[in-house]
Amino acid sequence: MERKPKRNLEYRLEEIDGELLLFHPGDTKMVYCNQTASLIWQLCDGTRSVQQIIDLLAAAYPEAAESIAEDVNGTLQQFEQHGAIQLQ
Amino acid sequence: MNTYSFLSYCARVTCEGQHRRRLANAAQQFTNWETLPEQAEFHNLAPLAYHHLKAAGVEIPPDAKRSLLALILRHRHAAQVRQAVLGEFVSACQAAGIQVIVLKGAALASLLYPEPELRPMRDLDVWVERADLEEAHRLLTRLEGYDPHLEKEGPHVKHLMSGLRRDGLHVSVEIHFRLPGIRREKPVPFPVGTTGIVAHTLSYDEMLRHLCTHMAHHANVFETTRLIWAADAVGFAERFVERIDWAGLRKRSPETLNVLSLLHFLTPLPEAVIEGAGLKIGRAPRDVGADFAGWPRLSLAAQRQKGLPRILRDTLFPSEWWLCLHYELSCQHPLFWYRWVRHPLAIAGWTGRLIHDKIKK
Repeated sequence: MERKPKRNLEYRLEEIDGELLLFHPGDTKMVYCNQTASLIWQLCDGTRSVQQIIDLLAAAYPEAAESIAEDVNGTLQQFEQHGAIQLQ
Repeated sequence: MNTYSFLSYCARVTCEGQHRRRLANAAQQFTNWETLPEQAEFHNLAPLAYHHLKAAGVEIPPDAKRSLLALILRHRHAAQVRQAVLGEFVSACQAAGIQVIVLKGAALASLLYPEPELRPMRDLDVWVERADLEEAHRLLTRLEGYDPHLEKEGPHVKHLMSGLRRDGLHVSVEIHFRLPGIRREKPVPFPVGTTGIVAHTLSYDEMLRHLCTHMAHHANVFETTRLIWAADAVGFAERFVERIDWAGLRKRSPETLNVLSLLHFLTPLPEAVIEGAGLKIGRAPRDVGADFAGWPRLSLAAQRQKGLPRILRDTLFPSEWWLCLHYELSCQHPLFWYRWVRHPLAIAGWTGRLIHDKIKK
């Protein structure tokens, strides 16, 4: 939980026709994101720990607090598998 | 309806009026949506197909839609990077007094298509005089991201291939110095995307010749054709119908008009082009769009399941469409000589070459 996720700057998150896609320009891999995943991506600046990201989102969306930790961990795992972030 | 046939409805630069209605109707019968993104990408049509389907109000199933959108984003980024590289290279050449002619997709992306991202491409193709080749190459090596490891080695008979790495992308540049039969006259200016640079491409006549020749050249016993090339040629003829010297083209290069008339069966030509070019369309050849499906394009091992009679048929008796396109014949031209003599002799020639190479080893 103390590890700090940092974005791989070669990856881009862009919106097109209602879809949010995280992609590397030189690769065929894509991550389809929802709004929560997009927020998590924005927060992966290398200064916040995983727990801090969870706490931040839970404070912003108290009605979803119970599932936030699972969402954050699942999303970060997906990002890491694609090489989009590094957990430092 | 198979995926190729469905994609052919999208293989045009503009898809309005009756063409849009035809596409919408075809979409109602089309069921192989899961194959569409991959096939569209193979034919360099993914962005254009999505663009036309969306404009026609077609509901694309979610998985296919997401895959197409992913492809579009990649092509959008690639187009931005390529436009920047092209602008820098053209600008450097102009400053050095080198006349560079931008060819094919690299020019059409800005000159013909509504957005550069709608015209994907593998390489940037440019043409310089033989005497300017070394200097042009030197200028390329000075661009940001030039990678000497991307130089293609070997005898450079017609072009030199170099590359850059820029913004996560590999940009390949082919500097041509021999384009047999194509004239460097009356170059047409065009803006390179949003770079502010004005580059030049072939004249209207020569561009159409080049596009039709390119498609016919790739309809050979080793390769397959791409629908984007049909979109290029038909779209170019449509857009610049008033600027093309059709009578001069008919005199100098009747095979260009033969290929154009064949493409009508793949993606219909507008009346203005048929009339302006004086095309006599006639009967469609059999198996429109069917690429060469025999040896040597497909190895004998890869075709084993077809059985020998079918392999022989596909190799020695290709589709009427392919014969017409490969030999640049009009659809009214008698095919007897090509079907029974010229093509079998060509296959015999390739067989002889293969045996010779094996003996030499």
